[in-house]
Amino acid sequence: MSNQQAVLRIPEVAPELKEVEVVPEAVVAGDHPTVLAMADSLSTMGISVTLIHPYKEIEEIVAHMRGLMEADEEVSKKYAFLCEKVAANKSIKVMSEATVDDVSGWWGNFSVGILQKGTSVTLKTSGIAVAYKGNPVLPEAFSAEGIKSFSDFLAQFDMRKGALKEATNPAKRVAFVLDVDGRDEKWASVTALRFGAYLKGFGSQVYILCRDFKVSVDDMEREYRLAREAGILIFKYRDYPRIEGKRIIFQDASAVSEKAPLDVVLDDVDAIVIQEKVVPSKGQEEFLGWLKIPQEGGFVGPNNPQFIGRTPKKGVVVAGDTWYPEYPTDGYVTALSAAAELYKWIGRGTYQVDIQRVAEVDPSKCATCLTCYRICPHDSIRIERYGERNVYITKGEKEGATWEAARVKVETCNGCGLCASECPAKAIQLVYYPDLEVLEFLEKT
Amino acid sequence: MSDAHVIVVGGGIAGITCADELAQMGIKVTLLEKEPEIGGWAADYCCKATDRCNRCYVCVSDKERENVRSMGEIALLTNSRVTEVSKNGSGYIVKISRSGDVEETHADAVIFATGFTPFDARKKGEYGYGRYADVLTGLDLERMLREKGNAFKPSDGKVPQSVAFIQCVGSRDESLGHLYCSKACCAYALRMARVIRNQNPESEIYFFYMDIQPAGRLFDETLKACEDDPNFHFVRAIPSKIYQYYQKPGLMMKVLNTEDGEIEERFFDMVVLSIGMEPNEENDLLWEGASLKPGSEGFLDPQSCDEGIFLAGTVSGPKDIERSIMDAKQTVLQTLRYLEGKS
Amino acid sequence: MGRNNPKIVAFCCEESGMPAYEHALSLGLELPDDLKVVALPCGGKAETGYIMKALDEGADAVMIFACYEGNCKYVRGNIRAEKRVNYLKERLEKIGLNPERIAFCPVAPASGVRFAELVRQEVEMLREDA
Ligand SMILES: Cc1cc2nc3c(=O)[nH]c(=O)nc-3n(C[C@H](O)[C@H](O)[C@H](O)COP(=O)(O)OP(=O)(O)OC[C@H]3O[C@@H](n4cnc5c(N)ncnc54)[C@H](O)[C@@H]3O)c2cc1C
Ligand code: SF4
Ligand code: SF4
Ligand code: SF4
Ligand code: SF4
Repeated sequence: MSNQQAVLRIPEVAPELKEVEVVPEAVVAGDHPTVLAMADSLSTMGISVTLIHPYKEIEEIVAHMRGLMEADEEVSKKYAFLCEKVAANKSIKVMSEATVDDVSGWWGNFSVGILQKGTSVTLKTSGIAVAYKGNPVLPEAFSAEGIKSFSDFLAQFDMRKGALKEATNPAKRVAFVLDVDGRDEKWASVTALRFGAYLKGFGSQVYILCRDFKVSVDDMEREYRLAREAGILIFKYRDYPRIEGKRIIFQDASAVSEKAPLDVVLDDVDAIVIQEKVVPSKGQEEFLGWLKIPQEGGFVGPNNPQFIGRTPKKGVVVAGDTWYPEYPTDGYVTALSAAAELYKWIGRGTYQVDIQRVAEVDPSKCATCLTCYRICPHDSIRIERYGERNVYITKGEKEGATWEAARVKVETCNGCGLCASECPAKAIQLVYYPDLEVLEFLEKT
Repeated sequence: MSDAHVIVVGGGIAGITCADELAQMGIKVTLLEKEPEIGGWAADYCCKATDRCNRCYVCVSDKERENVRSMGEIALLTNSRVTEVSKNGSGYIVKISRSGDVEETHADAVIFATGFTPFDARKKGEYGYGRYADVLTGLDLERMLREKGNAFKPSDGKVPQSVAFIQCVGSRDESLGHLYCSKACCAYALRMARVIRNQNPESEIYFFYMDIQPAGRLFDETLKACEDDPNFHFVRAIPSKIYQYYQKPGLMMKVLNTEDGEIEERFFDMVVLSIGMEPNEENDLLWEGASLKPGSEGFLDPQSCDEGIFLAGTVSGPKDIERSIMDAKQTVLQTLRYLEGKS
Repeated sequence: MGRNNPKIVAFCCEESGMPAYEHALSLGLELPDDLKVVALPCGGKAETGYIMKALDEGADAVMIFACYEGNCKYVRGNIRAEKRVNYLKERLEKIGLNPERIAFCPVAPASGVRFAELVRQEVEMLREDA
């Protein structure tokens, strides 16, 4: 043994470049505040941006996050500033009360159908950035009366009074129950703590019940300590708490023994706030569906380390809850990195793509079975009409002797060869690495 | 903007991502790394897949490193330590020490991606790191799994049967003045523990922790897999001491038995200390010229940056690889914006 | 078929398999000389035709080194490869051949050790089988 293996490497074919023109323009759409960050940074980079949002005024994009943000001064300042900046930026075209209701096309040539106040318009654009906000859903077990989800609580809260708008006095006892469904999200820990500290100033007793307190947000460990010193009671529960009217019952996880669990009962809690699960919105699911972008758990897929801040579809980036319900400071970075990714694809006007490192269909062999169309991970195959005869089918005859066959979009093909390996008619070859090379190498193994 | 020159200091995952992205946008970029190889700490880590990928992002860093190495557009200087950065007109002069020589280079913008220093576990003397062979840090285990493929006890080369992970070593620790969470160690420890379980179905894991921090999207799956594993014991308490008996093998710890609530003495073949991150010691040298200031935890404060100076990755605070990459990408965008404004 | 030195064809995806092979070499691990390494852009490109051709031309075993599930640069190329391998294994079994002669082996770029170990196991298996 001397490590003398025969190796067939992927041939280094000299690139053959094709000039592609990509107009530096983008559609930024959605109802999540991060659309502002993306619109702003793309616009300052010289891209002509159309911002599509469902509200009357730009300010409303951040309004629903008000409570969440007021708990975090830095974030709230950032977004207030962004609102002003975007509103003042004349080069951003804002379409309000509008939603995306269809998308098709490819990098450099998307067509976005928009529904604005009952009328439909279609926009052509080179790139798309979306950030939808998810829908908060309370776990069924907690949908009793008097219990509020985080978003409802924040929406109905009057910051000056330190109480819900309808209430006359600040709540005496407030409990935040976190991590009831899933343990991935950090935003609720942070918000509960910061909000709790705020309520404490009004003399409320604050309880935070969680599985794990999420300190992996900047400054949180410090604030966590300060909050405990200030008298906010933070419990880690073992099983989901039970809620009966104004009473919360749970087992403390710091209890020493499973056999003698320490039951904790909190009585007379006048405000119970439960962390909801953020589920993907319908608009987001539809959007990803139109562009054949995979979804995982309803969020943009694949949840795979190879896809950081981008989708398999060239020219489409996502942020906000479409990416994942993150804490706003993290979400802001995600949005900017998505904008950076998009800028790379549409910012420079012209691009050179290598038309060697791609697959190619031989239209005379194609049976138009759509296998390749279905499996291409980058949605780079379309079916086109050809004037020549297709040897496998005669379906085209009806339409005036034109023949259909698959065709690879060289601009977005990554040359993975998946289509080639599954085509039943063997009609596809990788231009840079034809089957013949491999088969020859395998001879007389 | 086209003839602007950007210097990226530090060739960890954040630095190489910056260099790659800038070069792709046609910017002239020089990447400086003090070590002989680029890659930073992540170049030592192992793959944490069990039967499927556990999303530790280490291979992303491996690939990106190879990518940057073969990219002709990036001027890559290794063995080059940056010792000083000072303002010069509208740009900066960067002093580089290369094998004894000192060179000076002008840059229109400088990105600091100088990273972190892993916590030195010797500072927590009670765990006996450096004294007991079978007490490892997370970093040691990462290297072992990468280089040897398997976990084994350094003392006798045998496969460990019972392994304890102690979380938050050097983080969330008031006695050290480290009032921050290192953000990556819960995830790497759980993932490596799963690798050990996967390799040796008989092994038992004790996981001592305070709070488990999520790491990115759908981390819940990884956590559930650990919780559903009968040989995986979560104990919400941090042991105070590791000790050994004279001439007896094994590491002893006083541990809470969660079943009956008794404190008992337990024996472990191997203990892994999940060390966190500390600010890079070298940052001190660089602060002055670039008028950078440390934030409350000692990491550099991005708000304090002079114009033309940018931060990427863990230099501004603990991050895992995924967040370091995202941070690098947004830094690149900011840098481009700055250069655009200048020209 | 000199089963003492079985012939193996390894289809290696460029993202994981090839770097793992090279990592194994850089660690100085020994791999059999009777190993033929074919680089492919993605594990999913290891098509049925390639695998059958390799067996046809005298390979004792075909191994496909690709990314772990959930880590494919082309989203599902590795899963496609795995499915294909499972299907071909069934076929082999039907015609009375050892299905273990085709193997799907997920690796990461820095899994040189694992790469060498998997090849060693395969060689051992083939020797016992002979
Ligand atoms: C034990 C451990 C295990 C981990 N495991 C994981 C994991 O599995 N998954 C995960 O996502 N994250 C993990 N992390 C986190 C991960 O290490 C970091 O997110 C990542 O390495 C940060 O990269 P960086 O580029 O910011 O810094 P670094 O990797 O520290 O890179 C900084 C670079 O700058 C160079 N440099 C410093 N100063 C100078 C100077 N003056 N001049 C020139 N060059 C200089 C350094 O040599 C270094 O190469 C782990 C962390 C630890 C401590
Ligand atoms: S898989 Fe082959 S035959 Fe089917 S549509 Fe594509 S190219 Fe045509
Ligand atoms: S080679 Fe890959 S990316 Fe290109 S068309 Fe075929 S399946 Fe799509
Ligand atoms: S992300 Fe981590 S676990 Fe997944 S394949 Fe890469 S190195 Fe392995
Ligand atoms: S990530 Fe986990 S182990 Fe690391 S400091 Fe934070 S809580 Fe502790």
